Amino acid sequence: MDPTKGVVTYGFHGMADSENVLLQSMIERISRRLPAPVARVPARDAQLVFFDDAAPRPDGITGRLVRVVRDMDAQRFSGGLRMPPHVTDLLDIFAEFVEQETYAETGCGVMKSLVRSLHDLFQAGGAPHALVDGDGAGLILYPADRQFSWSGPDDERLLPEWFQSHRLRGLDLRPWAASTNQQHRKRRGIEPVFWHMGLAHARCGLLPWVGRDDALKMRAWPYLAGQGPAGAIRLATALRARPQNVAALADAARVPEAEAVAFANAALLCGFVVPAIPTETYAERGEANTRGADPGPVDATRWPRLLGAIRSALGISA
Amino acid sequence: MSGELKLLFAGAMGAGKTTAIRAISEIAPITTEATNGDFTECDKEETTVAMDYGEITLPTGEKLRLYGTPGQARFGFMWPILAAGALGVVILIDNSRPDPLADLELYIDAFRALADAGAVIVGVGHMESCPRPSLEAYAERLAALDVVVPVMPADARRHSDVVGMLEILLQQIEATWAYDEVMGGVSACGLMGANS
Repeated sequence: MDPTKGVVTYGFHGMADSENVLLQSMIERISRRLPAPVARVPARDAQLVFFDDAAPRPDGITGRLVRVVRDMDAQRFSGGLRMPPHVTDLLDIFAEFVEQETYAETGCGVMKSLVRSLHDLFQAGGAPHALVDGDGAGLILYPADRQFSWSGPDDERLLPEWFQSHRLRGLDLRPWAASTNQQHRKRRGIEPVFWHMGLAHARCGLLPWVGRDDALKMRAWPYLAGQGPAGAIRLATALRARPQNVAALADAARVPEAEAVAFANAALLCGFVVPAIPTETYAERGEANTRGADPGPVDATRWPRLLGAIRSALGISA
Repeated sequence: MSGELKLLFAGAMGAGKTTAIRAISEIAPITTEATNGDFTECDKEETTVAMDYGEITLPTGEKLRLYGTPGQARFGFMWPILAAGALGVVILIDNSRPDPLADLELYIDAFRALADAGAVIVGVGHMESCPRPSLEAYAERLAALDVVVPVMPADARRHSDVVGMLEILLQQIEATWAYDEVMGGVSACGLMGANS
């Protein structure tokens, strides 16, 4: 479907009728400013589903979920809608949706192919390759050592740019033969490249070899989490607590699923996260639960209040 | 209340435990410093020989006690005593020391039970002047030990760095607590059984 030519359908789940009416009227009022015509349909058939953050996760819905958050102080975040609704949020939500759907039609084939090629190359520990863009700038990749270097001047700030849609089609992966003046370039771990590639791949969903229902397990702390997505630390702490799939992870970390997908992609490519063997999901944490006889100073029911009090004393917002 | 609320700061001599406690304690830290007679471990003139102590008053009126463990390995017998019943441990590693990864192993081993329960965070100091080992090396060493705990650069002199570590530590404790709640309310043992 090309949403720039077709109609973007939307629906509601778990919200009050009055809120549905309010949102629908706002969407109709701003429809001329939207990048595509819109139509309300039942949630089950909708491409975009606004759903109550407090309601159970909807079943049988295949469209993209937009959490409705009732928090006046909430910041605008990707994939969410603050109530009462802001016109700018609604415009952003529809514009992002159309952009992502258009990108999925045109750019995801290239992205998925590139990710697969690089993943396979590093899994095999093959010979050095160059990843070159249309302007001739490039990354030299050393799969056997899990390292890379820049073919031109070093500039870490450029990494997030490398896998953006406007550059993707010009990227070419080819074997690389070291020239004398390039052999002494500073090499570094490949993880920052993979991290940013994983984040960019989120626009195309999870990595091709990972299923939406696959439980993921943290193997090593993702020390690159500071480079995004915004909720990466929350996602890391939630996944560290237990293996889970991306939908459950997004719920546990209270972030939009798109952020959980971006985090999972990046961490999977870097090897910080691995698919969990089904039996690990509960068994591992069971060990932690039963260790030690000291019950500690805190009754379990006091945890939320206690953690809140410590945060407050330290000036940390939850 | 059934026991004291406490957080530990552990690490080698000179890693910044006293400084970190000073950064967040509302009282002047009570320290038990003495002239350092062990210049093979650290060239500080004075060092903590028993423990540091600071505290923070919570809005509930309770005190959150902050303990700094003695850094020298020969005082290791005190670590499990201090760890008993702790909410969590901040392990501070000095990247300028001869073998920081060995330091990491020593303290993870000492606080293994808390690490397995998600109640440990590792802060690495002096990374700007001594960038090796990298954070990647720390994460890999921890993975080799089958431990997943956050590891991040941290300057114990900076209040924001110390609070930042505690923020992540609290998130971890909360995430583990939430999971244990789902699994049947066994969280108290899971998070707090600090005896190793």
